[in-house]
Amino acid sequence: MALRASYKSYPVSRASKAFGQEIHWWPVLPVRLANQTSNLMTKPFHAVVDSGSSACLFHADFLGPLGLNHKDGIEDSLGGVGRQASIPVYYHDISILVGIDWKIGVRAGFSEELAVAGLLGRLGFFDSFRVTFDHSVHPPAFEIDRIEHQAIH
Amino acid sequence: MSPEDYARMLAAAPADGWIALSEDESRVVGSGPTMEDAVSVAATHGVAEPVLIKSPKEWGYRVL
Repeated sequence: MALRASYKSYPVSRASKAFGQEIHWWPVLPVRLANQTSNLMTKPFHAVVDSGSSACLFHADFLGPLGLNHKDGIEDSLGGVGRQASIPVYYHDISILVGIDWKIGVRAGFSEELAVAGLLGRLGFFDSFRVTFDHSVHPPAFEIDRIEHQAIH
Repeated sequence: MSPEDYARMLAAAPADGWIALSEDESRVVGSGPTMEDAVSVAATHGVAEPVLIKSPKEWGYRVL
């Protein structure tokens, strides 16, 4: 069964000169992270459903509750859309818990430089869920539904 | 809670850190520079499973 959720209304500190709005709608999903080899898991948190992100990325503060060591992961770096320097990222294999029914295993990046708690990106999240964004309603909403992968012969 | 009230609640919380909300996300029950700090404050308010949000230095439009 699909899960449908409205975007969350986040504040805007200074009204945008371009858009003038005092609320910014964000497609965020409450999720938890879990260690794949123990029963350790994080508190629930808002993660942005972000088709623009290559991978699933989370703030490094989540590593402690998962019992993982920052630099035991696979070291890499990740750039943004601007010219700013790329940020260091350490990849770990973890599980993402979505709602009460879904648990997916992903290789996710962790960084102390991430400006949000988490991003649910293409590798891992969009591979696992069919995602539909709906801006025809107010507030905007999105729907996710688990993809049942079938073996390719 | 209206979307406007929800946004005002987040705007009133400290920036550039972590915000802990009650399970129904109707009130701020903790905050701090680290996630651990926010969770600890939430626990003192009797909320063991807060919903966490990372607050930016400044709320606004952004490309992630």
